Amino acid sequence: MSVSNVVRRTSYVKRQTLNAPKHDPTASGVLHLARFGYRPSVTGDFPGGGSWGWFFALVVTVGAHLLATSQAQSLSVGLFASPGYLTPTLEGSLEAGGLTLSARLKRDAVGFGLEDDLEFGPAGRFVFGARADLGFGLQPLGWGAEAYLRGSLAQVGLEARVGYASASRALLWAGERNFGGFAGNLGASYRLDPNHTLRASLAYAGDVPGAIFQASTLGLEGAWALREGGATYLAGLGFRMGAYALLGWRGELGEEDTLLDATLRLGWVSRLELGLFQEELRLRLMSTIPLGGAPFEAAASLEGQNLRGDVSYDNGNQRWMVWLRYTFIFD
Amino acid sequence: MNTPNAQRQTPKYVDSQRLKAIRALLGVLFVALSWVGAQSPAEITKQVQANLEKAPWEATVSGKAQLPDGSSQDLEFRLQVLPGKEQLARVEFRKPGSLEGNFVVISDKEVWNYLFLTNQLIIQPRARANIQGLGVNLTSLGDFDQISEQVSLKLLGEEKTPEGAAWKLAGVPKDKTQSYASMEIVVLKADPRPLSLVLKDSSGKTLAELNFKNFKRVNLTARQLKKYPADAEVVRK
Repeated sequence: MSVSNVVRRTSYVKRQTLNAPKHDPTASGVLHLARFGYRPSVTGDFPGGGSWGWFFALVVTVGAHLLATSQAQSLSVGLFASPGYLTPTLEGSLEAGGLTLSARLKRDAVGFGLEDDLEFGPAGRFVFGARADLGFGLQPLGWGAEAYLRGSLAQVGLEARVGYASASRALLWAGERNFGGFAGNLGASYRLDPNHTLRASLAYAGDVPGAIFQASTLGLEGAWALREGGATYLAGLGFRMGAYALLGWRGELGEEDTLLDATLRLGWVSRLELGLFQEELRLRLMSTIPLGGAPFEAAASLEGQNLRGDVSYDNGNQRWMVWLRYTFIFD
Repeated sequence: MNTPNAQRQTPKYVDSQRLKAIRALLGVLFVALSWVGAQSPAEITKQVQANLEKAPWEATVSGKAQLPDGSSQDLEFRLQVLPGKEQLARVEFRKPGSLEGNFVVISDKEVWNYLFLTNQLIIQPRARANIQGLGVNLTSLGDFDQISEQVSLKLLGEEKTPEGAAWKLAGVPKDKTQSYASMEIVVLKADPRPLSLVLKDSSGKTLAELNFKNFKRVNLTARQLKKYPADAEVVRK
């Protein structure tokens, strides 16, 4: 496809960030499923939380200015709580010079992102960007950075992400998983024909829900998706220190436009994920299956209109978290 | 009334006046019929537009389109159009197989582009949406007024088709920056609607050749046309 036929539309807002691509392989699921769980390794108070009120006031003022000038594409305000820790959260995005700039802030960390995309009309779209976070409540300062590319063109889909964090990611942003260092994944999907799709992914991560071995290691997963009679069936195999099986089903229930998406992994990674979706309501549930020493962990996320709530419990670390958010969308 | 004129209205005189009136009437009818028989392209496109705006309809559009790399691609999609106050058109791809499951919804203000493989719905203002990735501007297919505004059409004549007698129109785009140099449209006379559309480049090479089949009036609602998977990631741009 010639460049002249590629329209670059860089400004973009992910309206419903909750939705991960369907049948995301486990390995790359580390990144998407991070939205379900939160396992901070620090059990006490986060340091440096109280003296940043002025900074929040400044960000809120900037946010209000963006609202007034209708330049911001979205602004999310939230409240995050975990044992001994409470923080407001603020996330915003803004179009500027064809790029999408984003920022996120909690009481002891701030992050900035930059994103662009390539449009191929009905044939596909790729989005790529980078993000950096700074945990100024940590001693020494913690930081994290990542770059990503994802999208599809005709029958080929790609997702790549690589990142590094000097501290636990859970300290750098609310709802992130509890591991530092390198992380990355490379996933590809290919439509053999309208009804059959192959997916494969390779991931390096340190904290995967339902995994027996919780340390940074490589994971590999392959799956075959069959679309038949309005439903999609998924079958696959994965390997992360040991093998596990993957089964999934996605389809509409009854005539109420309710869509169910269920994925089960059993073996060295054991967890069940359920998604129940209606036009204005989205519910996601995740529970690990504590077999062979895998820690019990459960998470739920409910999204309706512009309101979203996340809760999770991690028995292994005796942790829980609650995160409520409201998103303002602007044209 | 005994006027000089009344005195002159003999039976012979009346017959001659009647004859003149009948001749005049026949003359007017002949001119009117001649005008109806040789429709102007503008009249035909008006009839087509009025017919397509009468009620919701759907059709299967199939044919070939040339991709930007020069290769030819089989194309088939279902086109559904809801005319009226809330005008909507939905294009559901069936061929090529790699796009099966993708669809585009076009309204006055927005273009919705659903991508099956990533389960994403990208919503953009219509003015800046890129929907010509397959060499065909999909927005034109359900809006004949737009075609007549953008193309200088002329009537080439009539031809017989399996569906009945049809007008054959041809034209060149008024805006020379368009991706095609000429257009041919065949319009069914009995039920004014397009039967086929051919786009060519300046060397006469066919860029797209689309046939409209299985045209039928159907009950469509905006909700139906805007339906997308409930778990899709929605991206507004």
